[in-house]
Amino acid sequence: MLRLDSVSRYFGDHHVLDRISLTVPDGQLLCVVGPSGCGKSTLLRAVAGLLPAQRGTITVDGTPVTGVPDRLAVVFQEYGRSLLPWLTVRDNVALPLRRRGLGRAARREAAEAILDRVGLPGAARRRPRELSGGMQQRVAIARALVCRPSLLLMDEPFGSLDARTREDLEDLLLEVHRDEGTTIVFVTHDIDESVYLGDRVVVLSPGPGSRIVRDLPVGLPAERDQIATRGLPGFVALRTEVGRAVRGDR
Amino acid sequence: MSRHREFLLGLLGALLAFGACEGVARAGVVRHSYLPPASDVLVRAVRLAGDRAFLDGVGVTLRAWALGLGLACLIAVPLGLLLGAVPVVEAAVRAIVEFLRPLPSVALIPLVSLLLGAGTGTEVTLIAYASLWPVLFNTVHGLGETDPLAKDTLRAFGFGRLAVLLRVELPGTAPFIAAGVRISAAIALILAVATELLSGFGDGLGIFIAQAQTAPDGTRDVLAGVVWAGVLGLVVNGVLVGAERRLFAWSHERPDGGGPTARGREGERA
Repeated sequence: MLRLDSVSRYFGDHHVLDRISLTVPDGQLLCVVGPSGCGKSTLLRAVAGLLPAQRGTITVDGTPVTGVPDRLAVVFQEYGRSLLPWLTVRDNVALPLRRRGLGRAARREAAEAILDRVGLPGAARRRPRELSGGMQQRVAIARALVCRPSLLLMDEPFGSLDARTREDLEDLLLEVHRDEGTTIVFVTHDIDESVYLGDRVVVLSPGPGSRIVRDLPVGLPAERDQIATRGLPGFVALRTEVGRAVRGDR
Repeated sequence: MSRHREFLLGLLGALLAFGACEGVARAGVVRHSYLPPASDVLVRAVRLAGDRAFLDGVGVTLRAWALGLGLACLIAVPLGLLLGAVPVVEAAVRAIVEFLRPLPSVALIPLVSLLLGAGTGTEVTLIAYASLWPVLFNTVHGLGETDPLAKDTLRAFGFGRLAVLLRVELPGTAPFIAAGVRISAAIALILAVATELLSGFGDGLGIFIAQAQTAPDGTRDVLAGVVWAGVLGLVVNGVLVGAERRLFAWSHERPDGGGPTARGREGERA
């Protein structure tokens, strides 16, 4: 369980996050949505232990986050910068396993299995920059999943992909979430995406001093479909509500 | 421009320069002993390839070159990583570095000869000193260019500071270091020949040139030695460029389009 208790963050005089309190139960897929520059990424980095929260506390399974929590994985939007270009796809994916004390053969085997899982069989020996953007982001997702994280943080992971690729990867994520039961915090500025993916959507107000302005459960059927789900009255109603909240309308 | 075309143009330029030198000498504009025809110099340079004593001398020069350059890398890369990774250390040594860096290495030849005596020790020390800087600065600069997002990603996977340095920053900096080594390789060659020339002891390409100076009609031999020095530099540079292309192919497909560039103009002052 991830718990944020009155978390605030400043950069110099700039007030970014204002007393954010949030509890994410195990296995939930939480979407955090808000306008650009509202501190979504800062929130995610604080949870990842990459930026210390200056006020308030963050705990993962009861342990306060001081450094990077155990069994954490992240996926950033900029796959091109977060994958290591000098390593093969397989070695990129196997990298987090180095901290698990696995031998080279076991690491490679696990990496190839997870590459299959994300729909990239046969890409193992290529280098990230030989692949398309969508494929590179699949590699980044495989790398995040390879050590079976208990908490997966995603910072606008599909923001720079074309519509079709994005839909494919959204469905891949839902599938992985259903199979593995990983707790996922998914940051996006795309309202439709947040409603389509989330079990729950949290809306942040625009900065400075972002607060949580809405916390909505998504009551849609667990089985989602890019066409059918988006046509459901429940989807449309929720999208409207989230959209209003993001725009700051009451 | 294609590499083929580039090569042909380079060849054309070289031939024109050769022809000009040949023409000036043959036309009798200057005395033969002052500027021998380019073809004479070239023939002499080629003949030297069969001269056992000369080749031994070149071997001595190349050995000092390799030792000095290797020593420079062994010092400069770890030092660069330290300076780049720990800002406190960088701030503490900045003044010393800025004092030492503009000193022309060639001016240190008499001093080091005095301290270490005439021998390989002096030559290697001077080469190492002069070729330290490009490698050092490129290492520090390359570290600064490492993508913070790649570092954050590894940190989020639980890797510590040292692991991030070795797994992200060092490999990411490698193309910059290699470019620094390439610049240093030329500087090292300059220093090797210059040290031999000025100190005038032992064997080596510089010694060959120094001794040819005093021989009657020695201009041709001096120039032939210079041709050898130039060709050595060309070959070394070509090998290093080729190695960089092979090893760091990934860095030439950067998303931002630009590969690492060598920094500084170290070659001009040595």
